Parts: sequence; structure tokens; C-alpha cells
Amino acid sequence: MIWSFLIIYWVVLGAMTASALFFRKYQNHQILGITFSKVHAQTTEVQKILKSYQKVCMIHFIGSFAAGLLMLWGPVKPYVDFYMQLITVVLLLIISVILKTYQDKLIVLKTNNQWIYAAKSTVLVDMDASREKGKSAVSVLWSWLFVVLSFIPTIYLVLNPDAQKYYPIIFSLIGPVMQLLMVLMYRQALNHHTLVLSDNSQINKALARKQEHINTLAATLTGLVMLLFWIILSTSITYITDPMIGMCVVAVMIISVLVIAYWQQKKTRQAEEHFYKNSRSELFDDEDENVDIYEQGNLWKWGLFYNNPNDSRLFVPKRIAGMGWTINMAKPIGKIFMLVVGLVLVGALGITVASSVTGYEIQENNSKITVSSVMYHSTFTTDKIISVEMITKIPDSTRTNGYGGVTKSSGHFSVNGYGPCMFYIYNDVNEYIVIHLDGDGPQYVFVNGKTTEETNQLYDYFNTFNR
Amino acid sequence: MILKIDMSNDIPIYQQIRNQIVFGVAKGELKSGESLPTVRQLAADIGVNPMTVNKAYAILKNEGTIIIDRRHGAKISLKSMDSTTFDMDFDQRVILLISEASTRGAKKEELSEHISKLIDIVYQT
Repeated sequence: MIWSFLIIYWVVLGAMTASALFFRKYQNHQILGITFSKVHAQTTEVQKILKSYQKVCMIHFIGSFAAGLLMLWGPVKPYVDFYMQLITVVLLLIISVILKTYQDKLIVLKTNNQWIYAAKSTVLVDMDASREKGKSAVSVLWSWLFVVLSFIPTIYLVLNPDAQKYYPIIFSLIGPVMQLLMVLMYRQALNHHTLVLSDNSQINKALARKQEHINTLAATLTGLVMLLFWIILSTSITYITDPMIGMCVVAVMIISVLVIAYWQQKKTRQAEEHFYKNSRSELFDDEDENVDIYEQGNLWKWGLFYNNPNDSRLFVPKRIAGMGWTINMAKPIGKIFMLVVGLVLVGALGITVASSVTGYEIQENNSKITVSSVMYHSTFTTDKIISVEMITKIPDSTRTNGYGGVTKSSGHFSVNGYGPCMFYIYNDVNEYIVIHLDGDGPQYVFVNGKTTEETNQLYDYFNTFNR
Repeated sequence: MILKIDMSNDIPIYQQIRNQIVFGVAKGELKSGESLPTVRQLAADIGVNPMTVNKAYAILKNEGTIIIDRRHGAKISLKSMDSTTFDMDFDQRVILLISEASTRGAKKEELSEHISKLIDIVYQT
């Protein structure tokens, strides 16, 4: 189980580090969210700062990787789920500080060199290139096909109602919702603004076609990866109980999406550089007076939050094209949305911490027994108890809607040989009381105490109600 | 033809689009019968709501600069001199500009020479 947490942590760490490293590449006249012309971006001073940034990111990655290994250390093990969340938050904060530090270095460099760009925002559009939109795109039919295929798990659950014990039908709709978001991502890729590099429309048209093909292919491939991930994940929930398989599937999905994003960025950059070399013309008399560039200020605060009062959009593409959208914090609705997201994250963290440190309660009131954890509770009368037994090993089980930490497990689980069950167990105590109940709802409740002695006492208590 | 839209200018974006297309037609950068991007294509590339581009195209259509065909989209219409080329609205706008120049102290001869230069810019081929 600890290895599952470790793998998740390393995958998240890898994704964050890759994202931070992608951000240093020159794209859309920006490096690390700071505006630079192409000429200034290639100066030794800028490149030195970027090399230093890359080095610091790698040091941070190695340090964070090693910090993850502390999960295997004895004193940390009981609190590993909380520790994992804590170091993930710390990891995010450190990356933000690194980004902010290097953004400030670049701003100081710009100021010292007086690299000033026009403050007003002029958008150049080549009408001939604009007419090319939609002509070089990978067909949208693929994305819609993926939406249809994502309903396979739902159809399976409708045809096999028994499987709904392990896999609620409402969860199966997550896949189709994800695929619809992929269709939106495709539309976004199609509407991407084409850079105007030249007054020669043939060059601009060629770049437009290339960019559109790259962006829509990336969006389609991402949709395919998400579809495969969804189908495999749904299969593993229904048929495979080893959580490591699930972790590996998630890791492969994240890595695949990052590879596609990296490919998209690289190909776009290569296309821009290729056409840029062939495009020098009267449109841009002076290398420093490229009118398609304007000072945008630092739009990415702390490298994480997009804040642009001049942008009318609420949802904007993420820093790395193809990775989805983020909210424009400059808009009032954006601020409210981020506040809600922040509260949800804090709430989720709080629940995890509470679940990790709070024990289970067992109360009896007028023959009514309540077993409760932070988020779940089971209530039954003593006359509903059919039998009580003690086992030393829980058969293969799958969490369907519950909390599965390293030291505790609570909520809805599906257990081989027992079916849907409620768990209120301390994982390290190798004795478990199984209460078989009469009536509707989960027919088995697994419970134990913090220690073997406590478990034995509980067993004696519940055994008094054994029929 | 390349449009240069100043997003922070007081002149509305639809007006800038309209003005530059008119300028492009006058200079010969946009030829009669030439297709324009669709409303959605141009709106996506500029980064504005399609209604903005729609408004610009509607004005151009009313002025006779473009024709809009449901199947083929917007095209530059055939240029021809007709009785509406110099209508009352046109005369009033030019008289206003001439008056503004006069209030700034421009003499008749220098104004005439200056306007002649501007005409050459537009009509150069």
C-alpha cells in the first residue's frame, strides 16, 4: 500500500517538474511567462538564467524524490497519507517560489537592458491564413467516436447489473464527461491564433496549416489516451483487486499526456523557427520592433495563476498547450471560482487528515449500535446481527467508496466471498471482526480495535448478540 | 492582406475591421470577388466574439463593399461607380474633416496638396 502512495507521489512530482521545465521554452513571445522578443530571448544573459533555472528544478526534483522515500521510514508510516499530501503541497509551493524567483530575475534583466516592448496590444491577422482554419485539422469525428466508445463501461453495467455492486453506474459517466471535455479541447486547438511572421501570405498560410495539424493531432491523441485509460481503469475496478495495477495505469496515462504535450510544444517551436528564418521582410524592419509582440506583463503569477485584466476570456488555455484550461483570476468570477476550488482542496485535505488521525467510534443506545468514522457510519439493531466471526486476513477486496489509507480503511468496500461491506478497520491489527447483518444494505461490517487486546474485547462484546 | 487590430484603442474592434477592409479594397490588396474568412474563422484568429466580426461584415454588406452568400461566405463585391458613391453621408463626412483642418489653421492650398498626397497613397498600385 505504501508503495502505491509512493508511486502516486513520484508521478505527481515528475509531472510538476516536467511542467516547470516546459515553461522555460520560448513560445508566444514568452519565457517563464515574461515577454521577450526572439532576439532578446536568445541572448547569453537570458540563456544563463534559464540554465540556472533548469539546474534548480532538477535539484528540487532529486530532493523531493528523496523526501518521498521518508514514507518508508517507521515514524512516518502511520501518517503516510497525510505526509504525502503535505509534501505534495510543499512541492507545489517550492516550485512556485522557484518560478517567481526566476521570473523576477528575467524582469530585472529586461529593466537593466531597457528591453521595452510596446505597451499596447496589437493583434496581427493574415486574412489568407485565417481562411485556412479547419482545412488541415485532424477530423473531429475521431473525438466524437471516442465519446461514443467511452460509454462502453456504462453499457456493460446496464447489461450486467451485478457488477454495479463494485462499480456504481454514476461513476461510469465520468469517462463520457471527460471525453466531452476532450472535444472542447479539440475546438480550442482549432481556434488557436496563428502567428503572423511575414507579409508574405504563403508563409503565414503554411505555418497556419502546420500549427493546426499539430494542435488538433495532439488534442485527438490526448483524447485517445484518456479513452484507453478510462476503459482500462473501468476494467481494473471490476475485475482486478490489486491497487498497484490501478496506480500503474494512472502513471502511464500521466506520462503519455506529458509526452504528447512535449511533442506538441517541440513541433510548434520547430515550425515557428523554420518559418521565422524564411520570413524576414519589411513587415518587421527592426528585430526589436516586431509589431506582433507587446508587453503583457507577468501574466502567470507564481507560475501558476493566470491573471490578465485585458483578456475577456474566463477560461484560458494552460501554459502548456493541450494540458487543458485554467481560470483567468483577473475576472471576479475567476476569483470566486479559485476560492471555491481552494476551499474544496482544503476541505479534502482536512478530511484526509481527520480520517488519518481520528479513530472509530462504537456506540450502543437502546439496542441500536452505531459504528462511525469521520465520513461514514453504520447503524443497526442488535437483533439484526446474524453471526459474528473473527478472521485474521481479509480476502481480496476493492474500495468502491471509502477511505483506504496505510493504517486505516473505512467506508464501502467489496470483498471476495462477502460482496458489498462496510469497513472500520485498523490495517496493522491482523484480526478483524466480521458482523453478518440481516436486512437491506451492506450485509457485512468489518471492524476491529487499535490493538489486538481491544479487538478481542470488541469481539466479546459483539458476540453477546450472536444468534 | 494583414489586419492590425489594436485591442486597447478607443475605436471599436468591429470598426477597425471594417475600416481596414475598406482600406484594403481601396489599395487593391483585396480584389473584387476575393473571399474573406468566415465570421468564425476571423473571430477565432483575432480572439473576439463572432458577433463583433458579424457586425463589421454587416456594415460592409450594407455599404456594398462585400456580398454575403450563405454557401460561399463573404466576398468583396465588384467595384463600380454609381450614383451612391458620393452620397450625402460621404459629403458630410468629408466636409467635417475639411472643417476640422480649417479650424486648426490649414490654408486651402496646403490642405488641397495634403489631401492629394493621401489620395495617392490609397490609389497607388
